[in-house]
Amino acid sequence: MRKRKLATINMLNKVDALYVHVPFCSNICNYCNFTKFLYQEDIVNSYLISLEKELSFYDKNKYSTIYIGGGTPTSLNFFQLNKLLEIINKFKNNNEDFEFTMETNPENLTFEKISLLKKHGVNRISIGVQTSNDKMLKILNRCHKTIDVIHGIERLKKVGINNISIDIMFGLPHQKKEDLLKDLDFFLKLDIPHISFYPLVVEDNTIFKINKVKALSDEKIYEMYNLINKKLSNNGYYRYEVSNFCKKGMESKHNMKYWNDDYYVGIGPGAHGYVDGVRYANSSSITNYIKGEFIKEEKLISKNEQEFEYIMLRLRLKEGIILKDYLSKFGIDFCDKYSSEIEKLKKDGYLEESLESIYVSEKGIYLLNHIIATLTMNLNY
Amino acid sequence: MSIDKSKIRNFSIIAHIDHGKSTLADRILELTNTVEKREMKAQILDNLDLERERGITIKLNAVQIEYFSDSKEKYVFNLIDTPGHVDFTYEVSRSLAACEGALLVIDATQGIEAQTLANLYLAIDNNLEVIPVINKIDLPSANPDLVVDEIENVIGLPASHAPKISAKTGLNVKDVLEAVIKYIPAPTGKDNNPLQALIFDSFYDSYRGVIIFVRIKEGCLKVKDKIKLMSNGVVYEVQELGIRTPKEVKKESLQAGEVGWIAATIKNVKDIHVGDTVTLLDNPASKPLPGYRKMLSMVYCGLFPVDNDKYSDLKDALDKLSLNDSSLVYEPETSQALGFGFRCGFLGLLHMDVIQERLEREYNLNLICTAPSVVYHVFKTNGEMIKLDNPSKLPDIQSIDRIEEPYVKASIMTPSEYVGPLMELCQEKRGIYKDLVYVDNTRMILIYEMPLSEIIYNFFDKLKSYSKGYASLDYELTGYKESNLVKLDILLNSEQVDALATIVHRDSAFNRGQILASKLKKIIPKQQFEVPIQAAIGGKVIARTNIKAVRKDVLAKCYGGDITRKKKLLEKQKEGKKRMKSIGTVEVPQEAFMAVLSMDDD
Repeated sequence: MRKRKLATINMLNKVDALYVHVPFCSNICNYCNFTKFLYQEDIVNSYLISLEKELSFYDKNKYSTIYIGGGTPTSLNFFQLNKLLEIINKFKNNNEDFEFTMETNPENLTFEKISLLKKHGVNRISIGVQTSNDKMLKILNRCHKTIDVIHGIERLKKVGINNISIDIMFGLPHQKKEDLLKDLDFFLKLDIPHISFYPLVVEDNTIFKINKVKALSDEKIYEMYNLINKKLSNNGYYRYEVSNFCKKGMESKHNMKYWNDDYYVGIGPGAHGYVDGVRYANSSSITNYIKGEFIKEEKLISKNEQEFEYIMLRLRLKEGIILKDYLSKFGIDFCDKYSSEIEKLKKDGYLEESLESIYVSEKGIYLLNHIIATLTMNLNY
Repeated sequence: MSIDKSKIRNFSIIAHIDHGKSTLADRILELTNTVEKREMKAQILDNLDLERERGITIKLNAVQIEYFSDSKEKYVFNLIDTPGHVDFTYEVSRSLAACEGALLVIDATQGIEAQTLANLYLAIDNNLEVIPVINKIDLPSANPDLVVDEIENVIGLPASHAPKISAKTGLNVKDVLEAVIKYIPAPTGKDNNPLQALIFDSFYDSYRGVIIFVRIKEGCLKVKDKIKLMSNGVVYEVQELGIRTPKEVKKESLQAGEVGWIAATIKNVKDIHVGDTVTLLDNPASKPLPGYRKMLSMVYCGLFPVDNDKYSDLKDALDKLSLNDSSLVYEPETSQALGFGFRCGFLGLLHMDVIQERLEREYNLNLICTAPSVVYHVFKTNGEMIKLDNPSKLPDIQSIDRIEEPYVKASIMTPSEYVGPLMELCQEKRGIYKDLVYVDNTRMILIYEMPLSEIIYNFFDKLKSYSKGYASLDYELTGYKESNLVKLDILLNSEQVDALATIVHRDSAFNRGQILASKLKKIIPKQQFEVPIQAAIGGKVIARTNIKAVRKDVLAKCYGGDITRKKKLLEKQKEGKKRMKSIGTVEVPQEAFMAVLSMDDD
């Protein structure tokens, strides 16, 4: 099955995004429900062997964005990290705007590791900062302190990696507006081009869930979102996606591909991919992965389902649905097909329209689920 | 070819629900090799999925069985199945009218119950020979001798000859068949008399039109005969006829005493009335057979398609269902809130439930049902009387002189230890105590006169919970009485919702208004704006609550390219929206319209 599928993948030059999942952490955070395992040296070694095998099915030198996520990719030791980057490096193309992102935690941002990343061409770093409140970091069971963030970012800039993003959480247990404002002031001082904000969600199978931690109410989250939006817009950031803010031109090219409904390859345990109309998911079992079992599920996405996904993803973006793109992708005039739904949502003030696009209004962005569900009410698959 | 009528027996099986009627039917089919064991599905006569799932028989079925008796003679039995539930009295009486005898199945562990009696009286009304059959004697708690005494003492039916059987294991089932031969009379009609055939059931077949089931009382019917329906004079030509074994078997003719089916390319479902008499065009009978006592609809509710475009589909489905369920009545209704639909009348709550489910399942309709209502008699100051089955249509209060509501005589059979709590329950439900009768040392029948509206409002469930499931209920309409009734209106976002209006007793209006408002608050999801819910009587608000607005429902993250979770959530939300009805600008889920009924007022 794998081989047959890949034969088609390789024919398609359309796929030029690669996601690599590194499911290891030196420490498990209390809110995390991603596929991850506590770091063990020998398991990581076996993982790297399997990863190389999985990648051998794919064409080299063709990806214009590569994203190594986790887990905590930088929890690997120096030699393993070097090996990982050597394997992955064979897949990048020579485009001028090639983007190579790696996720990391502040405590891993040593000169040693940063230099290694730089050497292998990593040109964008996404740091799990979460909050600038050290007490709260402890509650989240993070391993770093705020001072590590300051030093880490200084070092990154020193070696010339300036394309830095930080992941921030808000709506933390007992967090007040003032706490969030303090956080925002701190983040702005870091002078970086990209910030992602995520409200805390208490997911199943997390320590927070077990300890019955309560997330803040939707009303409070809503107010905090507004506060963040206002503060960041006043300071030169632009909200290009529901949770993502950046300075002009500094969007994440790789993530944009997800929201643009483009194809991408996903590698590693629990990774997801979308190639040639088929969405697939890798087994999230590290044992099976090491045994060489990769893709666990595949699903062909029907034409209507593709339309649904496209709408769902594109509306997350500020620019919304570009009408001529929609027409060329589906052969359908978006405004014709959904005219009554669009009218209703425009009347409610949730959608807005320009000459070439339909997009979600400032007011509508927090009710995106309602908007998508209403818009696609009669789209069945 | 004439058949020997002395070797024909037509009978039904009647029982309280769960006493083993369908299981006995299965064993009889098996024992007589009518259905091979390998073809046997449990409860073969219950061929609606719904019937098998719920363990109840709703629709009639007639099967011809050949039986070689102990005396080595061949008999032909026509077994006509009947529904067991109190709501289906009408259908029971239909099948009984096609028979000469009935088997009254009684559970040896439970004894006589309320519906055992109700069904028995129907059989006696129809002049049937009744053979008691004591079932489930294999169970450790069975006490067949006690049940025999009970039958003789309580219902005055001789029971010493009653077969004692286990339908489940097949023990002594042959005794039942021998008893049928011995005690149930053979049919009496003559083949050369003018044809009189009683229609006792019908259904719609998309290839052959309406298929009718008949019992030939007098005369003889052949393929190509021109038949006339005596109630409306409509004429058809018989294309095919036959019997069911339970598979359809075609025959050339049906003769007096037989039970069978007729196909005559009947396209118009409205021509066929169950209870009507079929005769021949050329040699008609002088008068029809006595029809059935037409049952009155006791409970009404509005049925509306969620999708307004499906109105004609709903109409079609109701037409077809009413074909073999003439107790279902319906007429078009328009609701401001729900659009076009039908006001439908049912024999009782279970009947209503079954029809709703059949419409949804068999006809693939997505329906909203309003809370059930009884038929009120509204006397206006100008002397006019209106029969009101739709609470929202109650005339202006100033023009009303008085309102009367239907009362029933409720017979509750219960082990004596629950009499106290059950009397309290009846009292609470505005019941008027009538009588308390001992069935035996341990069981009593409690008789109350009670408003029917209280019975449809949460009574049955409470009856079961107050008596740990042991009490059984039967009721019959006794007449109308004046009550102090008011209309309880519900306003969503300051708009009156006609489909949520109910008529309640003034004393409980305040309480119900509050419960209903808070129940609706729980059922109706948060909207994009704040929605006030008000309960009002005659323009005066008696309860108020608010549904908060959703401020945020957006999902923050698409995890590492995994969009499946987000997609599933959205799909769920979409499905939820689809099942909702927009009332003004408020999206209301279907359950809201039933909230009136299911609310717990403890």
